[in-house]
Amino acid sequence: MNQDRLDRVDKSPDEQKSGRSVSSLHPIERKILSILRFKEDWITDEELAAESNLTLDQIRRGVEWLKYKNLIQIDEFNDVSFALSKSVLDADKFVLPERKLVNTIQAGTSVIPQIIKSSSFKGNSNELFGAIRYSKKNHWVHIEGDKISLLDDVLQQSDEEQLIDKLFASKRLLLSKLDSKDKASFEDLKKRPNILTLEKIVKKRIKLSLDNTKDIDDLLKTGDRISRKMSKDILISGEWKNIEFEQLDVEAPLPLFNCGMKNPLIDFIDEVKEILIGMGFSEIEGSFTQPSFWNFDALFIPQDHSAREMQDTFYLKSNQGLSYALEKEKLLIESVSQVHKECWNTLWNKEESRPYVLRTHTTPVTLQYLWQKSPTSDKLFLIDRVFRNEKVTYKHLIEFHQVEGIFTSKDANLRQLIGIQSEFYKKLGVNKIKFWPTFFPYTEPSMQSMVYNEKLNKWIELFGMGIFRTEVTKPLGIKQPVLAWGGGFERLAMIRFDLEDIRDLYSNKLKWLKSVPRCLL
Amino acid sequence: MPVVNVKLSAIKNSFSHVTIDKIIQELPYLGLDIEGRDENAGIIRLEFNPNRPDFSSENGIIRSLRGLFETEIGLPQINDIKPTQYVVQVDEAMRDVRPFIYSFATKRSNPLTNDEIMQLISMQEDLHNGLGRKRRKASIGIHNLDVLTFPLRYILSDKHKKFQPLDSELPLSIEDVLLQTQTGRTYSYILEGMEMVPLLIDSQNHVVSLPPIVNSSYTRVDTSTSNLLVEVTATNAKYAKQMISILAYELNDMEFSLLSIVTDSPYQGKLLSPDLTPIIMDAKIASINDLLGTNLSPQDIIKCLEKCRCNGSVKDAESIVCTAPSYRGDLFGPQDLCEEVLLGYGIRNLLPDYPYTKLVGEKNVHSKAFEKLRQVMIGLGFIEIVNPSILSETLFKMSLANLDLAADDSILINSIENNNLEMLRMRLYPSMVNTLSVNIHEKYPQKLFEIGKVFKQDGSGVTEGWSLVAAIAHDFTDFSEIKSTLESVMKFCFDIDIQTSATTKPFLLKGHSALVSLKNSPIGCIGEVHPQVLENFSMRTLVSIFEIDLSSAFELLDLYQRRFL
Repeated sequence: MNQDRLDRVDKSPDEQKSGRSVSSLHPIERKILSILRFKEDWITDEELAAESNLTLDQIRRGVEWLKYKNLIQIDEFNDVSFALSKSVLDADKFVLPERKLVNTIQAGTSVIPQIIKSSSFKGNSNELFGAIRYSKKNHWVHIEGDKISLLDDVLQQSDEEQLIDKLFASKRLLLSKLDSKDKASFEDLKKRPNILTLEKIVKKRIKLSLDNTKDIDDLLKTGDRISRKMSKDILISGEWKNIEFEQLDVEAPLPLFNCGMKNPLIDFIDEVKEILIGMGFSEIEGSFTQPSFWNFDALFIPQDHSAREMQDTFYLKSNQGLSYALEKEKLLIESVSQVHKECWNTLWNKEESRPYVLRTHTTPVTLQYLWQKSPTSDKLFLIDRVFRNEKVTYKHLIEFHQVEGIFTSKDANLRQLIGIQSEFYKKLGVNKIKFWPTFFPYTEPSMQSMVYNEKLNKWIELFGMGIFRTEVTKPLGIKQPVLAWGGGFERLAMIRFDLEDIRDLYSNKLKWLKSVPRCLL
Repeated sequence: MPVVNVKLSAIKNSFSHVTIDKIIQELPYLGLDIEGRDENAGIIRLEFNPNRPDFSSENGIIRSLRGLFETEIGLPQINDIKPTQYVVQVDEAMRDVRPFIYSFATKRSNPLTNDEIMQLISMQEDLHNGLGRKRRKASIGIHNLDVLTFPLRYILSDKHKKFQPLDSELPLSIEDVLLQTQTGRTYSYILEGMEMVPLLIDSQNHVVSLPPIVNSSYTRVDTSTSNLLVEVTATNAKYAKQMISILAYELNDMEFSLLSIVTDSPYQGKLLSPDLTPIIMDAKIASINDLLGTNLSPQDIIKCLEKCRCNGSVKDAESIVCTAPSYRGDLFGPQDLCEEVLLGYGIRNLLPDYPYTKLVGEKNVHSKAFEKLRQVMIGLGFIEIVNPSILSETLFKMSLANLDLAADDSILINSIENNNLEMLRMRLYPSMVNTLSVNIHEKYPQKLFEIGKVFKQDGSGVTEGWSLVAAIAHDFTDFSEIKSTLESVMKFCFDIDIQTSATTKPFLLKGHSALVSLKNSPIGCIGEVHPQVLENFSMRTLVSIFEIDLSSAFELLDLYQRRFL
């Protein structure tokens, strides 16, 4: 993200949107304009770079912004960039043939046939005749028959020689930058073989846009008193009193920061906890791993019940062996097994109660609390993990949360259970509720709640509930009725977060975690 | 939950004054879930709860609906059961194998229709799976009465005995029935390890059935059969009697006349079946009203019971007596009668009542502490993740945690669905690294944390503890960054300093890893994640991590004892 922000600093804000009046200049723009202001003629970006001490890259960006603001005009034209050919540069000491002729004559050879044979021309008569033609043009020689004599102008450099010297000095020249004399020499040298190498190029040149000179003057003038940014120096020096601050583009969106945050599921669990606490319920907690005794037997689930099969329940094992001692529960076992024998007409096997399971519901925790604390009046709840040995699909997980609550009191009754549910659902934003009878081994009467979901536009099953059977509560030493309710929590979360696949809740995809709004009331 | 198909026409024909839609609306108030309605086939599919096996047939459901709509109330009528000379003799040897057998016969002038046969088969299947506990506890056989000669004998037989099982072309030995036929293979586990198996034969030595596996083809029932023998064999007498009752009422509703059969058992004596003696129980009027929160008169209560096909009468000023059909094995005591009264009264007539108590709610100690801890982690820029407690052994090994933790301490899970060995997590960090690896396409730096439970073996039991893991992933993260984080967490959360000493961990980079101690007790470790782990998870950036044992830290800091003031 920091990189994004740094990238933006050099961008003219006006680049973002069109049709807005120009009110401010970027320092790069300011520099370019102040140079162009005093130039009548076109200027290339390289020249601008040289004059302004900005990099070519900065110049190009600034030029783009200014063009966009309609403060400059840009022209593209063809040019020729040329340099001396490789053979010229490689030569020991290069001279043009006409100078070579002069040198030969000065050395004492002045008759044409002899000059052809000389070490300078090596029998190349064509080269010599060319040299004679250029020497005559330069007014260097006079010819009578076979004999060539030198004139005074021989001391002067020819135009061509001057251009070649310039090329030796600057390596490469642009045709557009030559004066008329050099241009003529260029045309001349271009015709000769192996002297120049040429390259056609397209150049950009820039000039102030004439209809805007007044605006530009204003911009440049006020600019002296405009600062782009507030700074510590401006603050401490008191300079801020004389400065106007640039109007930033306050409308453009900016990159987001990284933000630490709570997991949405945990967040929602906490919200529901708040609701229940507000209704007077206290949170309890307990082990995820439970002996079969607490997960099943204590809940009046017969030992031959299908829920106890491996197909439905995770049994735990280890290399050293796992088995619950049932030490603390010695007396409890007596009464629980008695109830089982009487009602289910089967034998009760203590060994079946020892294996550890991953709790299939949170109810064993509630029972343990009731057994240990023997409250006469209490409201308890927990929202915690439970486990089912099922196939994972878009609507089933093997590990999920259950919300469970109980209310116990001397005169607790079914109407109160309906009342508590109605109140709770109202706080969850549900108003259309109905209750149907159903069956659970450990409650009687048993009901399930159906709620109408506006988002899904249908009735959905919410929680199971009922009054704990006396076969469950009596062995625990609880004499008064216990109203209990509970159900899967993730279904609520799916509705809350508009998810269609329950697995998304545990995918931990950062994209999703960051996308869930935190403040939905 | 089991599902039963009910013909819409059958419902229509049973109620002259109520529309079908009104009846369907009422089905959930009997405890039936509407699974689907097929107008073309003219049926409605209903899911029923395992406590009401009498709902396993169309007739059973209509019987209850007629009560609810007061078309027919009180105990369902049953025609006189005619006595017969039929006897089933039970061999002494059955006592330790599958001791109980109950049976009765039925007669009707017109033979069974195809639809009735389908109904009986589907019902039998549901009863087998529910009450019968997949035939182990009790199983049913329905036979053509006309081919049988009494007395029948319920005996133990060796496996060489041959007979032609239902749906087989040829006679097979019992051994082959168990090994080769579909039902034989499915249910032979019930007879596993037995040299001798239960067999029901008639006086001519024709095999009637091989309980609880298969009937004989000889007694096959089809659309030419009008007289039936129904037998139930069982290891649990209660379930068996309940099945017999359900079937007797069903066939009674199909307008068969019922004929009794005597079971002559050396260990039970002579028993007459079907025994449809109603279940009778008392209930206090006040306890029913107290539990429901109602103020019903004895007459109101009796009316409600009658709508649920029970009879009721006033016993004395305080109690009523309820008489329920013999198939209502789900009624254990007065509390169960409350539900019957509730159904008769109608749940929707029960007005909500909110209990006002002086109880004050609060979060538990861990919720409170973790809330503060989360605040600090979030303040430090960390995003919270949530991973399951169940970890695949593959991830465990990829994280190299297996090289650090004793295999004997790990707790494994029986996993049916996949072949991967699964375990309860002993550390949070393997799933943390996994989470980072599923987010490699997201922007870095990534800072994640999780608070979760970890598990390990403790003697023959399990200990569970809370753990905090935090990880930082980006191209330049290192030991100093993560240690800075940990020190900040401990300082801001608990105002305490931790100590770190050099250590070697297989999953952390050597020389860049440390043991974390609090008050001289080790509570976790910290460091740069080992490149081998990063490679295993295809990570292309660096990760630094710490994990600390919160439960131990809380103990050491006495947090569990601390009070507000």
